[in-house]
Amino acid sequence: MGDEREARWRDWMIAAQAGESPAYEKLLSELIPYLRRFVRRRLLNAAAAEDVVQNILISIHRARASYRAERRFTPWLHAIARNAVIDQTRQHARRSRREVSLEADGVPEPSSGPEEPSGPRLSPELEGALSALPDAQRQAVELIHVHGYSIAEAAERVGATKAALKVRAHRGYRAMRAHIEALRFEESNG
Amino acid sequence: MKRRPTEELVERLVGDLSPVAPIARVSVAASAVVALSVAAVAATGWITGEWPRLDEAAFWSDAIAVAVLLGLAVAALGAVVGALASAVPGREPLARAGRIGAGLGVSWCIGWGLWAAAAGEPAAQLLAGSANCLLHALVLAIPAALAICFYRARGAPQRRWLDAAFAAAGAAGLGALAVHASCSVAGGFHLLIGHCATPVVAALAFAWPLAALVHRWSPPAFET
Repeated sequence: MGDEREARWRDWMIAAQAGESPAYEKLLSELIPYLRRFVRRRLLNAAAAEDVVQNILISIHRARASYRAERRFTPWLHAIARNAVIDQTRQHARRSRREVSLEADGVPEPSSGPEEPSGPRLSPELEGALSALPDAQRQAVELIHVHGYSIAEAAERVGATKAALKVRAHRGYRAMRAHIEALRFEESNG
Repeated sequence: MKRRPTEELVERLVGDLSPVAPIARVSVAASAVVALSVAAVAATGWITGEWPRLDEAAFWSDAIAVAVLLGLAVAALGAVVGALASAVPGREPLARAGRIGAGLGVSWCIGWGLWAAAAGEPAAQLLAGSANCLLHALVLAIPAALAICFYRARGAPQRRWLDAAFAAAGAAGLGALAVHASCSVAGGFHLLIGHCATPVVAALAFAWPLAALVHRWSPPAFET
């Protein structure tokens, strides 16, 4: 069974390298359930599993020239899949470390969908910090963290690229945090 | 029935398919890199008249020179193989072996270089010419470094910085090997700085540009 599958995938991959779309489609379609199992066994964050499967498919596509017919297909596939899982784990850890803990300062979690522009009520402290931001940063923070828009939606609304919006929001969080810390320091020192 | 994004992605990937030639075996690529280095040495030898003096008995009678030659050879080949193999999914054990070999080779060379430098000769005098040897080795490394980057860009490079550092160390190690074999300057500090440290200097100085080059030569990211 395993050897049969191995031979089938190998043949399809060789055909895909030659540009045969039907073989490639069969290969990728058959890989999806296999990769889902592979990823779910290794990833604690089940919500991210489907993203990782998609990343693996994209990596296979980009790295298809690196497969050589005389080598087994599954070790090649597993190496790509393992790297994608490791990347996801690293990204997740990095994001967790860098994330400014606004929640601890009272910022509500992004809601599941965009809310009306009025948005949820913020504490006076946060309102103050938010209003002290430059317009572009305030808009980015409000759209993402107050009104719950996704990065892509928020970027589209303000007519900026996703990367630019992320940078604005990140700078906004940092400035807000500094503002709040300064306020608290002043209060505690009379 | 609504299709799932992953199935839609497959459709887009299939639509984007174009024929590709499989990349060369790691052994073939490594041989090509070494051949390019030899060609670079031959070209500069033809221009400058400086050739490796491996046919001289004096070279082989110097135990430290021979030890450094062997160390540079192991370091260079290990780093080249490590940098190439790491771009091929499934060849991680070979890449790891290459990196270990490179580490051992560099340590061996630096150890002998330090031993020679500790002989107590005046450093300022013996530093003369070290920069020349270092630069000569780096110039000789250019074709090999470009070839490694080209191969890596066609594969699936993972640890961009680390492997770019090994690519730089490997290419520069091959250059240093030729320089070491043709250099007639005596002195421990010269040996240490001008020859033994070349792979380390190259790794530190050129990891970033080589990583950027691999990124630039890689196929464009698939837009999701």
